Amino acid sequence: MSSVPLLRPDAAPLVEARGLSVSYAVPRAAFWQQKPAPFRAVEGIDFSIGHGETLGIVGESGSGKSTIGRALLGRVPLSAGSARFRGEDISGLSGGAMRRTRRHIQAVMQDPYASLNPRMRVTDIIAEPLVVHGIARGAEARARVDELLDLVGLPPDAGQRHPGTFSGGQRQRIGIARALAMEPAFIVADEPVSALDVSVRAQIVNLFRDLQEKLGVSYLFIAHDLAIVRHVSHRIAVVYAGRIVEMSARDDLYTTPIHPYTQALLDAVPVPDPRKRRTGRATVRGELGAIPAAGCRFAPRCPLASEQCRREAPPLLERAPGHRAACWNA
Amino acid sequence: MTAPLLELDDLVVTFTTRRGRIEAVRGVSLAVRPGETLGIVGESGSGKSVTMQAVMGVVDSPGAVEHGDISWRGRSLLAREGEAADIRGRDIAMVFQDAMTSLDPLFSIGTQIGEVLARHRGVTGAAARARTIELLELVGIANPGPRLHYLPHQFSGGMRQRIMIAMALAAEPALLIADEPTTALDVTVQAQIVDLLIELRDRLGLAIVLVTHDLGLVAELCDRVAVMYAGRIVETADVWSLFDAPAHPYTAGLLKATPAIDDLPERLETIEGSPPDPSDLPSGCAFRLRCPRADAACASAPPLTHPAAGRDLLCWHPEPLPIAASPEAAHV
Ligand SMILES: Nc1ncnc2c1ncn2[C@@H]1O[C@H](COP(=O)(O)OP(=O)(O)OP(=O)(O)O)[C@@H](O)[C@H]1O
Ligand SMILES: Nc1ncnc2c1ncn2[C@@H]1O[C@H](COP(=O)(O)OP(=O)(O)OP(=O)(O)O)[C@@H](O)[C@H]1O
Ligand code: SF4
Ligand code: SF4
Ligand SMILES: [Mg+2]
Ligand SMILES: [Mg+2]
Repeated sequence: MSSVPLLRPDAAPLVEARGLSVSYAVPRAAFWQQKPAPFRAVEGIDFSIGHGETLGIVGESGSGKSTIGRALLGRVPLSAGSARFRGEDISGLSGGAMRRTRRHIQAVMQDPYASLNPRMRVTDIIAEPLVVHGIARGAEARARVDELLDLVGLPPDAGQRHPGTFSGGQRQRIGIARALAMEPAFIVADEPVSALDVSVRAQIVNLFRDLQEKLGVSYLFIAHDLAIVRHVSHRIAVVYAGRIVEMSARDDLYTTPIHPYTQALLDAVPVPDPRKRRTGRATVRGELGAIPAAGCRFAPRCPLASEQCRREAPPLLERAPGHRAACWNA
Repeated sequence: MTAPLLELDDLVVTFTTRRGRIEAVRGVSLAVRPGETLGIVGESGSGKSVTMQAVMGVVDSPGAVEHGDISWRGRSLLAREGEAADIRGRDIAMVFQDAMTSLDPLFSIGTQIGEVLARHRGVTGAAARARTIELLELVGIANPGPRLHYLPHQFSGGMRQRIMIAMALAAEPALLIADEPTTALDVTVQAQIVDLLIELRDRLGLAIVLVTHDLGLVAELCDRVAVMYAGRIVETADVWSLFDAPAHPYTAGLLKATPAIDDLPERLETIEGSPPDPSDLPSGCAFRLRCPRADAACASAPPLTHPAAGRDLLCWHPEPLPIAASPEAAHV
């Protein structure tokens, strides 16, 4: 599959993260104990996203994918680095400037059940951001909602109903329509299809692609499923324990992976064909969450780990045009 | 053929709610034999978990088994409550869909596994402690001794999932039911759990029922597959023939909608429409409003047929099957 062609490949990036880092406060185990050091969820994240481009993010549970998304939405403070949208620092904005920028950045979240107010009618859910930002109201807002319902493939009468009367896939469409109401240039999609049924997952993935083709939206697309990520992304970043360990153009990652964690991820994807069964599939073992204090964070699970890996963290370096990886030995 | 361990016969489970009566399971029959791995796949809400909850006797209120029977080694579990309580948890153990809610957050994992050992195996004290450590090592928890005191939340999601498996195995069951055991995990950890299940099956002859959305996992692990849609098993077959030649249009759609990582069509194939509302199912075949092959006949319920050896099917107009492509012929 060819991805949706980039609109303006040479233009300045729409979104830029430089050294982006986020820490979370860790609660004390008991009140007489010292306050523990904050937990550094992501550190030194660098990437840019062009106009009409999709950057896919993959990585294991707890590696910091959602945290990166939250940082770009301005929902968590950065402990270091910057996140820029059209050159403006997202985290540094306040008041009116923040609101003006925020309307161009929208979110579609994992859980289509929790993210819609069950007491509101669908029309009001979708129109809410238009009204809040003073863009449209009344008949104009309703007309815009009808257009959006049509765009995401919901029936026109959907607006009169409450979210509870829709299936998971339809609710995810409502969430997407709401995000699109503001005509955003950029959408953070955090596991937007993980909660959906296999049979409707493909419908939503196709919808994301169609919207990009029609409207030129850029996406940060976070997902567990490597096959789905390959279908939607132009470039992909692999995150491990809060750092980007590899980043490349979509196909390069799958055909010539460099980092041992990326290789393990790809090797472990089950193939939906019983004739391609492998035995002893797990190529990396060892336990999650064991992050060493120094050196490469993947070292405890890495088949290639050497002395140097345990001492020094590997830098993320360009190995081939547009293909970066952080590893001493691969 | 060996006698089945577990048999379900025309099982019906209903929930009576304010919105009305929901038939979550509408006449499910299946059998699991010793050492066999049966995959159960299907639409979200199709009744996979409720079926297995009925086997374990833990259907949430207001649900109830309304009809049919569940038997273990030929004896009804529904007719003998006392005996059933012993069999469940000891001979049949289940890993539930949500590991976090099925571990008690207030008790250490050592205490929780110890309880299973005491109740079902009569093992206590130092022997129980040693056995617990062994079990945790078996599921790949490094350095388990000092961690017996940990509470569930002090482990990562993947580790909790493995602790659940250790707890289920503590009773040395003959059948393990695993409901979406790897959904929240990254594929590298998922692969470790799959390896573990394969090892247990091969070493201990454990029978496994694997409930999952993930057709890749089914292809990797299962011998036979049952496909559920709206409370019914619509197709059963051995895993090779099912993937080669799905007969039910829903099975065919599901396989087509699952993208392979190295296959990149311009657009993904989809099944149009959305899963049916369980309190308002279409008459006849429940798939008919989404089915590309539906016609007037489908407004009445399709009968159970056996279009090929080992295949059960509920459909008026199945996809054509290749002639005499027996799985054995293709595989020996
Ligand atoms: N509000 C919070 N307070 C403290 N720690 C947090 C908070 N939110 C996330 N974390 C921790 O930060 C790390 C990264 O979390 P994040 O949610 O970004 O992971 P993720 O990659 O999105 O995982 P998943 O795939 O499970 O969604 C985790 O270790 C998590 O426990
Ligand atoms: N406690 C309950 N009260 C009312 N209805 C219920 C209850 N538990 C399950 N159901 C209904 O029973 C049906 C079958 O649910 P079940 O959990 O078995 O689905 P499933 O096939 O396991 O789906 P999933 O793949 O999403 O886990 C659903 O329609 C669900 O809404
Ligand atoms: S730096 Fe060393 S430990 Fe880290 S991934 Fe590379 S080889 Fe493995
Ligand atoms: S019975 Fe009819 S509607 Fe149902 S799956 Fe078969 S062809 Fe389709
Ligand atoms: Mg997340
Ligand atoms: Mg379930």
